[in-house]
Amino acid sequence: MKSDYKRSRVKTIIVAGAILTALSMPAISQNSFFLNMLIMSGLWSILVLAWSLIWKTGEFSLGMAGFWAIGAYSSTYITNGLHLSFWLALPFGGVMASIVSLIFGPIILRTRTLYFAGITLAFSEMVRLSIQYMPKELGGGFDLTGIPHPYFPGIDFVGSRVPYYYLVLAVLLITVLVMWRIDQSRVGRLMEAVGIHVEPLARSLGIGGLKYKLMGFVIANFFAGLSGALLAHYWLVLYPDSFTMHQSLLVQVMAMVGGANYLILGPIIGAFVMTISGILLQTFLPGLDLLFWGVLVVLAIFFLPHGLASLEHGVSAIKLPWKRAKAVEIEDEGELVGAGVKE
Amino acid sequence: MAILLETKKLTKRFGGLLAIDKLEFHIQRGEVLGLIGPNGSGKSTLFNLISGFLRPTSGRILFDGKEITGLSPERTSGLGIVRSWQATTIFGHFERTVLENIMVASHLRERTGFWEALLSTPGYRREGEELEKEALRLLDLMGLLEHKDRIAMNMPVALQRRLAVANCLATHPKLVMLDEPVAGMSMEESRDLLQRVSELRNQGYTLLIVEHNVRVAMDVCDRMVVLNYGRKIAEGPPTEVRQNKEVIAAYLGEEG
Amino acid sequence: MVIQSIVNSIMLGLSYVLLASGLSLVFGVVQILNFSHGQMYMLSAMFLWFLTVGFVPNYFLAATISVIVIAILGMIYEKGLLRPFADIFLAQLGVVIGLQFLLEGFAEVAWGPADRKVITSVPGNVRIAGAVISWEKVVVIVASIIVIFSLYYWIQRTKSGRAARATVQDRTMTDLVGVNRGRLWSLVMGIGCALAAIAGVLLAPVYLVNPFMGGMPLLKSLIVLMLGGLGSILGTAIAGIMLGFIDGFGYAYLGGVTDLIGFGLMFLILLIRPRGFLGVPLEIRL
Repeated sequence: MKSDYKRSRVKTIIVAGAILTALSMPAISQNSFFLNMLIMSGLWSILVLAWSLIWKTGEFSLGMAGFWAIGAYSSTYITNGLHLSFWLALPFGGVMASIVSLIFGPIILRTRTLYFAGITLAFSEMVRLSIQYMPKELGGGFDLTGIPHPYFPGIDFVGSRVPYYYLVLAVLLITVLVMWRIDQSRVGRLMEAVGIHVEPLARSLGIGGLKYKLMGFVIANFFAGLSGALLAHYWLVLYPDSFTMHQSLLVQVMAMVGGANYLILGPIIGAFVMTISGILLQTFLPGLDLLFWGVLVVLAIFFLPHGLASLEHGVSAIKLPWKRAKAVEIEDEGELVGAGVKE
Repeated sequence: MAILLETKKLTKRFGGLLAIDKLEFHIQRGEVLGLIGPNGSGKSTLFNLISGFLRPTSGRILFDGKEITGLSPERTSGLGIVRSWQATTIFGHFERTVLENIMVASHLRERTGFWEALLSTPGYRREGEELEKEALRLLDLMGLLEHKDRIAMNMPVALQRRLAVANCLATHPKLVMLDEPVAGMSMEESRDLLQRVSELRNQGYTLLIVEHNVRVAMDVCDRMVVLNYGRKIAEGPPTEVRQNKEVIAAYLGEEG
Repeated sequence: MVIQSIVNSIMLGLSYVLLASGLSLVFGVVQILNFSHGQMYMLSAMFLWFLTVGFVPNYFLAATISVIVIAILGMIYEKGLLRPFADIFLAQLGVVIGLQFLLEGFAEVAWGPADRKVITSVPGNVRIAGAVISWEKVVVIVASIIVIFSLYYWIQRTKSGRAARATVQDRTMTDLVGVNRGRLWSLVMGIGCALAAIAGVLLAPVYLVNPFMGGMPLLKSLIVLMLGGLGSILGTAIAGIMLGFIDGFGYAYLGGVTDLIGFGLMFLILLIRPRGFLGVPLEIRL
């Protein structure tokens, strides 16, 4: 039975095609606005992929903005504060984010589901506030300006966005590669096992504890940090407002629209769709992007509960809500409180 | 008669509802004990209490002479108690093969730690090879060796249930608790699975099986405990239990 | 300065209690953490501004209309968007987060991103213990206390209120004894949103309003909810007042860093005692 065994042929071809398309994007247009949309999409993709890895271990982190900030501000400290190379700052951003998650992870991961979401949210805000009020000498402060462009002999990072586009693409591809390798390995399977989908099963088999959740947490936040470093050296200015609950929730939304059950495909689709539509709508009328995103999420939940990526199974993925069997019947008729309730 | 597990005055209350009422029973080493009773008699609650998914309101549970009352599922599985589930039986969510399933289930026996796994050290990889050898042996035991590379979710239910049992065995447990392992299966499939399961006794495993289908349970179990409304109403070999008046009355209208 | 801080603290504290109670009620009964709760606060304030600028120059009338509109909006939203996913937690979470964006976007599109000044509820100031306090703040305090006591009365004395309280403590039993879930959910959602809306219209004259002001109230509500405990009214009240004083004095003497304290407390509570000081623990470990 061919369908039983993993089909990789078709997928390999599609992936190769996608990579080729991505590589040739600047050939289509060198337009600054166009490249900006792609670069921002790429940055958000990396962040959402990071979220997705944590989700794989069964927890949803509402703290992605915090680690994005750590990556952004710590890498800026290297280039802006210490005047060292960007190529040192980039990995430094990732490493700082993963160190923080390694230190606080064992504490944070003691909590589960709803409480985990809450604690990551609180942590994210604490990170943001700490950065905001940290003395300027250590790289903190409100609005950080004057971040330098990356420098590499022979490549013009200042005049054109194309080199940065390839840089972001490269990091995105590395992220995807690492995620994919993890997915294939024993570590990856165990990360799934501790996830909520099969959590009781895993717990009754003794699979629990911190090990794999922590691993997922640390690796994921490394990439979040990388993305933050790239963000800082793209915008060249940083505002603490860019790293609030709003951004953390946006990550969730992108993942849901794209398909939260997909480790790699969902986040990328979601990030691209939402970022591009957002930038276009925001330019047209401020606020329209938020409105559209809200509508998009609700529509997705109603009609495409497994996200846009589930369209890989064809149009059958679209579920008409009135045809879907109701999970629970909740009616309105009758008295609010029946005769059985004692006064 | 070596007692592996016993409960003393075990009670569980949910708000106003008394689910288990001062229950006392035991499981002997090396036997297959059947736990039967009508719907709502407390079988699942008892399972949850023993495996640690619920904390008792009062009473004690002793395993191998040690107190395990109120221990978490992670602790009880570490001590050698493992259980199966009705709803989620296998790691099927992300298209995993049969062999991959057992490898995940073997995790409890994994000794290498966080850093070894992250860096994929030779020690980590060697342990992986050993676990795989053992996994293949278990698959063979349950007759699943030929299916080792199939996607677990796509297999027929009967094979999935075998895999669920194999997953339990992967932890090298002392007590295997199976929650209605043949629910929804045909008579033939049920008989096949339970035959394999009872043969596990010869491998040294002790089994507690919850079963709704009394007839099928009677063929396999050495002894039975019958619950009704959270209380034990009968205990003994199947032939005795079959003739117990209270048991017949409890099942009246269900099986007769 | 101290008197000012005390007044601000009480005002903030009571507002936090209003907001958190609404969130807590919805969470306890409808079992959904309403991330769009802050937007109800924002919408009522912005709608109030909208009304007073064009149509209804009287603050109190406009405020009442605004609260009622928001409450009804909440009820429609619950019935139409949340109830279809009654037992699917993740779907409901997605909807409330989506609504958070949607409502914020709507407000920005409808009324623009700028800060707006809302007309005052009662003009002028009053001297209290040597300090000058605006009447607006007094209105907030008095109105909040009235609403909170009304809420308490509803929960303790009325049939529907007691049904709500019973549902929070034990779901299955209330289903058994005949509490109509559907109508209860609508009612509770309406009340929950109304509480946020009331906080919104009360604070609107005191501070400026803009479409983005819904974020912080949500976070503050979450802090209070986690500290006081899910399912405990008294816990919410105590935690709310406490946070009010922390913020009231903090903002005056420490500035923006004060928020760090609140989040720090939330962080610690979730670690040490996730159910909050007086909360109800989750029964089954599954």
